[in-house]
Amino acid sequence: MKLSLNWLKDFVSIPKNVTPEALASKLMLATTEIEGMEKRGEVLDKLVVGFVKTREKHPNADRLSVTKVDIGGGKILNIVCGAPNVAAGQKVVVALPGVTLPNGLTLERREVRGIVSEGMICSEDEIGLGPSHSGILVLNPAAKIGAKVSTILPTKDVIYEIDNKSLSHRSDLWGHYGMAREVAAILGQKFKVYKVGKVSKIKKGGPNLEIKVQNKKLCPRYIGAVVENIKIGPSPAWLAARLESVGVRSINNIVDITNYVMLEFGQPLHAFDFEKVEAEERGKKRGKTREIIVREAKNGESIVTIDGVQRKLDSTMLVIADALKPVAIAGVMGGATSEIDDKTTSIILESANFDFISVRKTSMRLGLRTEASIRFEKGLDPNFAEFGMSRALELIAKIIPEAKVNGKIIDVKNFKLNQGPIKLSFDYLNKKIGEIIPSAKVLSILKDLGFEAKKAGGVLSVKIPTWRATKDIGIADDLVEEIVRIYGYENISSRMPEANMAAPEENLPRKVERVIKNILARGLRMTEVYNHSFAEEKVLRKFGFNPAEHIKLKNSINKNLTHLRQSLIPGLVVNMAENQYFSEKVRIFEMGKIFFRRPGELKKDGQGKERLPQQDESLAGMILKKGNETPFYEAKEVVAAILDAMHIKYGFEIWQKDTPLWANPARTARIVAGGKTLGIVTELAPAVQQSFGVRHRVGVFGINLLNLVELYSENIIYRPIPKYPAIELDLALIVLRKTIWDDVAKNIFETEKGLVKEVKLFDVYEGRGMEPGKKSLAFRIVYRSDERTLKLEEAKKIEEKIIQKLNQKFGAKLRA
Amino acid sequence: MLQENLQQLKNRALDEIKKAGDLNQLRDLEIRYLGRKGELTKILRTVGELPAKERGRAGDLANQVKQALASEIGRVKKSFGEKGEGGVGEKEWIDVTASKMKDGFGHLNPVSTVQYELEDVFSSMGFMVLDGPELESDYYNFEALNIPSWHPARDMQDTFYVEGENLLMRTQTSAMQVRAMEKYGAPLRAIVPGRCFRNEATDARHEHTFYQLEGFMIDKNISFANLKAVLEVTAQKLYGKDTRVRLRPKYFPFVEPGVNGEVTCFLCKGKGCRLCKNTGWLEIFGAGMIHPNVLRAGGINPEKWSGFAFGFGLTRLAMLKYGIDDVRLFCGGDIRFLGQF
Repeated sequence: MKLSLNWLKDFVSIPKNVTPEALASKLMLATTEIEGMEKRGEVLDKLVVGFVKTREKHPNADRLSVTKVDIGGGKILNIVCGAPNVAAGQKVVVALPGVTLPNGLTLERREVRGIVSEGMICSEDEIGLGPSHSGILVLNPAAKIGAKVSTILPTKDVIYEIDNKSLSHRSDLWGHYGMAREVAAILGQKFKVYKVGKVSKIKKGGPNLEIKVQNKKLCPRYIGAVVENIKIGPSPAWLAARLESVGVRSINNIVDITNYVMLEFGQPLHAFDFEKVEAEERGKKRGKTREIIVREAKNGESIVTIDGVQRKLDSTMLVIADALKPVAIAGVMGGATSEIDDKTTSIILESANFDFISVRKTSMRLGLRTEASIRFEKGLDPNFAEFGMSRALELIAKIIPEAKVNGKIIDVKNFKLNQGPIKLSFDYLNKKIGEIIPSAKVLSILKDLGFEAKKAGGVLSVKIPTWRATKDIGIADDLVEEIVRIYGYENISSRMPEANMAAPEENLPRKVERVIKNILARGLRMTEVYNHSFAEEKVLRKFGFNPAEHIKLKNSINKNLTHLRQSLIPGLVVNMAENQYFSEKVRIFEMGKIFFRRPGELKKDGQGKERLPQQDESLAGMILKKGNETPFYEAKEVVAAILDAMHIKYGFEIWQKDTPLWANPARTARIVAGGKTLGIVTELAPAVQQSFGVRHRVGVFGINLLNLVELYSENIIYRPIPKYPAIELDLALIVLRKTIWDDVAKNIFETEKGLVKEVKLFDVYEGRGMEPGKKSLAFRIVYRSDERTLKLEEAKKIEEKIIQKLNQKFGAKLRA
Repeated sequence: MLQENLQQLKNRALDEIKKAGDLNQLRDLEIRYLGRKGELTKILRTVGELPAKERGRAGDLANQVKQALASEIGRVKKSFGEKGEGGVGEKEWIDVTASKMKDGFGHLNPVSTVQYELEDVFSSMGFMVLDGPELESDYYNFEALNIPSWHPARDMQDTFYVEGENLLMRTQTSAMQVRAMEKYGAPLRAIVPGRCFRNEATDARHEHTFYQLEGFMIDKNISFANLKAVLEVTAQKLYGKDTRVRLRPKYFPFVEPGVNGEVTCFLCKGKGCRLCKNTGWLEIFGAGMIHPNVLRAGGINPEKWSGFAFGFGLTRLAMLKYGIDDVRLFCGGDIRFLGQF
């Protein structure tokens, strides 16, 4: 919303020492967000009044004129002008070389098609006074030649751009009047209260109006009046200029007046063409009585609004109707059939108040937000309707002197505002703020804002002004805010809270998550990515997921976001596909929520009968390295390192049946710990890898963090360091390719339980030099006794036994 | 006589040692002068034959010469070790400017880093670290926060609704306020860092997925002055001791009074620059005193307890901190971006 400083000054005087910048800053600190400030008309000081002495056609251009312009002091300039309306004898606005216009153009003396031009005759838009570029601005003939234009066009102004969102709770600030009251309170200046005027010219016996408010709840007030002898025409310059200064286009005198009143008080008005409002019987259309009915729309009804769009109405919407049909959507937009036009001679003027929830719902249902609806939906004071009608009639009388109000002004009102009083104790106020604000200051702030406060002992009894009573102010805390914001947040000294010392309760899942992230990033050289929580149906299918099992988004504006993810894998695969071009090795992980349709543990509302869908924290990672044909092992190593660091006992089991469709079934292991499946280690299925264009094999791991957290324990029990030395012997055996290492290791341990302490595989080889279908396993066995120093011969003996056993079990042969 | 001999020997020997070309020559010199049959050793042996009163002085002098030669030999030997041919320096030499292909290290998302930094700040002040559901109910995200369905404040937030009744992707971490109150009651001190969503089109400045950190404290006599102090401490932790906080009124339905918190721009120190759009201030927080309706929704009696709440965008903090100008990078998974942190 745009605010004009000149307009504000109609209601509050602003001391000279308060610059426009200072005012903006004060408003920012006490009331509202200001997004911008624009000074208008500054350039007028640099422009001069010129007199066009002669005008001739440019010899070399059809559309240009060559003029001689007197700018006073005996100076006559040669100016080439392109405007069609330039003529000798005019007083015009002249910009001389060196002047920079609001559009950024700096003038210079230059040749235009062979003729030197020593300046420019300006149009309205070129000097920032309005949108008109139809021709040069012609001044009053009385203007003094050579005078500064600013002395005759008092259009210097400052326009503030207010952030509408910052006013969403303040229905009273949607016009200059209300904002002026704030300014007065902030600056400690007097506020000029508007007084409803008496309507002087009332004619009797003309056309008659009846207003029937059928839904009084949704229409707390409806003021209507018939005004006759209207002559539709352009608005006077001052009115058009004011509207245009705040970005509203001038249309005609009546429309402009309704807009002016809205911009002044925040009260939207509407004018219907009396003749176009239909009476009961079509034949009697030109009869003298018109009915305005405020009612719910009937299902199936529709209306063409003044923007030319046909809109379907339903019974949840409030309309203004004549005897036959809706003529306006209440508080949103008028209808085309009763719109005023150039031939309109009498109007029905509406200044009404509508229920804010109803207006908001209607406007949302129709997808139609208007200057009127954004004001009504904030909850306007029904008293504004009276201001609006009064002010509009004043302006009509001023601008169309022959116009007359016919009959009486009808006012149907059904509202009662809760003006309190609210009890506010100084004790509560001071405790809430944490600072003692002098009671005199409290009282004066409240008074300046229009509250009536009575002090009785330590308690204030505060009556809420009508314009704050619709829904904005209702409790003592609301008053606290009013007081502290005008008092100034900067005047409150900060003080750290005093509270009992307490160690915060530990959030174990979060703690574990953070430990794991750090291990992954710092120790295991994995980079953390964040992917979106959403999934695309198409992509889900590529991974073999069933979209129907995923939670669906209802209103996503992005067509790629259709569902909620149930796995981190798809996102990571896309990351792999993109990153493979930048690096030959990519190691990434993500920790994030995944979502399921089944109900989880968290309750949905305060009652707790229903549950939110299950959402688990999940961890997954992927590893790719050019040339590595078994990145499975790297992924496995990462998992082992995490679990080792967490002191969790775990194992890997071969996972063959029912592996996820995206996993390579020949290379999948289940991570098991504490009798539960903790996750998966695998490689991406070649088909998935190819369909995303990933060029190398990808090792994958996925871990259910919930289960991991359950197993996590900080109970580490110290084991004594071995007293006797160990003997380490390496072996390399040739076995069948599909021999399972875990089985081999188990057999080694079982051979000599007490003395074989560790078995560590360090190489697996198959390929060249190896018989087909065979592989070599190279491993180290650690032998140690807990009671004595083991002799090498003893270890060798055990080794002999092991070789024999493995030969029996697996046909293992020593590698030569 | 002896003294003269000693002096001459010293000068000659030092000269020869300095001129020694390699370790072998040096070793020869060492033997020639200091060896068991060396020249100096010989002279030392004659000291015993001198008259008793000269013996002491001559002995001292001879020892001084011996030390001088030994130390010079040591020095030259060491210098051979560093650069000489055939010395340790030769065998041990490597090109220290060369390095193998880096294995590198991993990286946390910059938002995680900023989040952990703040978690530590608040934990140290006794705040619990909570998280909550990202798929939330209309009740906790709006209703319980004093934002009924008709409320225009809902316009501020474009919400992703999901199938099922009254379910949505949380638009703010404030959604955890009432859950925390229900679970822990008062007094309460907690922060909630986490992922939030807005249903809007993405560009360099807008992302539908972003991170916030919510904080609240409920106790007896919690005041606005307390809120201001906690915000100041936080801002100073983030941006240095000189950082100031400015509060401006701002409407949030779940706080009353409600404010917007700005901090002095860390780049220009409040003078005005491109980052702060020449205002000298950076908008960081939304905050206020928890609305009595919200306390009540959480089962806490507003007559007995009061509290403040604040929230800020972790994504925004990370952008400011690292000078990141495209918000999409955080959820983009590009290792060229992530690898910088």
